[in-house]
Amino acid sequence: MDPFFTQEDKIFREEVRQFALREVAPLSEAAEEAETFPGELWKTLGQSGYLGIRFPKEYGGMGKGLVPYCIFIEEMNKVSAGLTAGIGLQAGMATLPVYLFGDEEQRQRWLVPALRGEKISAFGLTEPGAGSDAGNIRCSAKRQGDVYVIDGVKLFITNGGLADFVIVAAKTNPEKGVKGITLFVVEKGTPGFTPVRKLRKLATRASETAELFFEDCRVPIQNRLGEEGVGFVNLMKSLNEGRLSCAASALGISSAAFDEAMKYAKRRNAFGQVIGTFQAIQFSFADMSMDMEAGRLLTYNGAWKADQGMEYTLEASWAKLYTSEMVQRVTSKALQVFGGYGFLRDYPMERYYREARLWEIVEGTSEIQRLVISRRLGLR
Amino acid sequence: MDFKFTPQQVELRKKARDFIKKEIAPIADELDADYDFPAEAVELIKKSGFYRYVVPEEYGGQGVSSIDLCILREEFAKISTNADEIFIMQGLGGYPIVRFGSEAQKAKYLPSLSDGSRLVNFCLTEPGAGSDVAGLQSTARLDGDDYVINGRKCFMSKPDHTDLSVVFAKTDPAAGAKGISAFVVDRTESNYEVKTDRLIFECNIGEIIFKDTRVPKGNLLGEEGRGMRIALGNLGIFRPTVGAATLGMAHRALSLALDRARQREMFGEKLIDFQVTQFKLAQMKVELDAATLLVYRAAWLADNVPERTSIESSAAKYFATEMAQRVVDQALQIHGGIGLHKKSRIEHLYRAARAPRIYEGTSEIQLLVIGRELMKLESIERDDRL
Repeated sequence: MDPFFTQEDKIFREEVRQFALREVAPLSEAAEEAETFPGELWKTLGQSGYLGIRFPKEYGGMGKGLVPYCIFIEEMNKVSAGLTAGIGLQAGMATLPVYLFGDEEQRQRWLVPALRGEKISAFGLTEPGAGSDAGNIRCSAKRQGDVYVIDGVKLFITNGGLADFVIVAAKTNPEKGVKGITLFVVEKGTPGFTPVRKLRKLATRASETAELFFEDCRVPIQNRLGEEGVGFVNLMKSLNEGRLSCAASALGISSAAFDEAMKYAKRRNAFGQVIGTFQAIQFSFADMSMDMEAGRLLTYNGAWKADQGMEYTLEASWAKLYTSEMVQRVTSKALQVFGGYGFLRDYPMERYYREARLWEIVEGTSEIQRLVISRRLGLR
Repeated sequence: MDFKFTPQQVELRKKARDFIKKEIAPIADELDADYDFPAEAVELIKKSGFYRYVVPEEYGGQGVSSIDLCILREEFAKISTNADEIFIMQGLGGYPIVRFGSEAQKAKYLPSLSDGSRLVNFCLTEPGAGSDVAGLQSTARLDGDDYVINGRKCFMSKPDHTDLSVVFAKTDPAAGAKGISAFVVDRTESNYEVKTDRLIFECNIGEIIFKDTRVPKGNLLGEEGRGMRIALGNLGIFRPTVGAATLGMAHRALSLALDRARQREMFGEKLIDFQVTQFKLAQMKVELDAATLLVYRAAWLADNVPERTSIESSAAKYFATEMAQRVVDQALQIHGGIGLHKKSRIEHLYRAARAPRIYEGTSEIQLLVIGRELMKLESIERDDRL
């Protein structure tokens, strides 16, 4: 008996694993090298149904909970963190706001085709001058009759250059901090909306991350998601999910690194023995395994609570914080096992090592997580 | 670059070792297992002449040098944490008089500190004010020819047998840090009450309670309002010495761990034959050496470039005290179950090692000091000195 996984979950995991190995793994290396997302993957994903794990069946989703979603993210990250970064946007971060805050017409217009892999989505909150301090974004949306005029710059937007639509957070009331933020859907090709500059990154090179310019970009009020001023407040409701998704990503990456290092340790010879027989190496694996298991338990405990309808803010932050630090420890130790080979791009180890660094920064830095946690503890 | 101690410093260390081996080592276990006043050890240390290292030459001492004090503390702490305490408190208590006392005050008190005929205490900490020195509540009100002191001091060393104290109290309670003044309180002239406490490790510690305690106004050190400066005035010379004491503790712990690992048999081998044990010992050694360099670098600066010590002495204290905790902990791990046993020196060290991370400026305070100094710097490039 498993505290978090039903039999159904276990079957689901195996199916996802097979899918990832069959459909995603073969595309990974080329995508990493070219720093380009393989467009044909969207259709495959759409058909698989996996883009809709979190969404109701009436929109083409699977109607599943956060536990299966995390399983999906974890298994996919074992194979390619880079590709999964783009996929995760489509399956969660960029599409959830449409579902949660959009009206029926908006859902039909954007959510349904997104889940089919026909319309690619992106999510634009972060700016050059505002990351953790989301309340300080500069991008503005001025109401003029029945349009909003959007001006500003967004940075680090995954899928930004590929997207058919972008969820943009802009200030309808610049006097206010987070309470002045409103969400809009900006479609590709809208005059004044220009994705520029594909960014070159330390990690997740297989997904495309862009800088987006909005200059006198006019969107109809039908493109506003929810009411004015509640954009960020609304978003905060879905932050926990995102955090657990990050935790699941970290689990996947650490798992992959561990497995590779284990295989290597069992075959590499030095000083007359297989290095896996050296005690220091053994202890390193022992520590890695415990660290990963602790991360796994934190993550799935949070996801399980979410699915039970329980409060899970603390759990989500703990999981995200812990696993993002854990994946660095594990990948560093795993790389150490590889020795010099850990640096060669012939092997995936150096990629895992780089991928590990992302998670303490995206979707709420570790510092932010610590703030969230201490606030939850009643400390101000 | 000369990493050697001077011949005089080498000589001092040898002298200390010889004394400690002969007089302190035989009583060390008892001494460190006892909460009572360590009368025998105090007598021995008085007679050793090492108290002369806390007083300037003009007053019968050897001259105060941070490096000398570090050498002495390191050697004492290797063998007995209480012996180290008995030694250094004379310096901590006496140094405010050395730096800020009038000629008359220095002539009156310092010779008796130097020959050990009187013991002296440093009374700053209160139940409500540790790190936040400026928050101390003790007051000193001028009344005719006396100051009247009211307040409570805690974590006081050997309070029932130390009859000279440098006491910090506010002559101007409204003025925060600038309202603090320092006084020499002589128990033969002024009344106060004493209580004893027990800490996680054995030492003679307690509280001093001042209730309308009258202190002659001539006992004011320096001027009213200079108390904060006087309290902090010890740090340059003495902060590195805390690090030195923990070097001694860690050194002893590592020594013990090596011995244990060499002797202990298991799984057909000696504990030291296992790779992980070797790695542990290696890490302990590296950390101990790193701390040693930091401590003596800070002490050297205190003696030679006194205007520039903040970062270095805080770094030394912070790193060495934290290092000692880690090294002692790992040494205990190497000992296994026996390390948990009261009879084991490592057991005492484990409890004793926790304190230096707190007293004389917590680790957090050290980091604050360093952080603040860094904020003032334009660049962290080093000049012509390490």
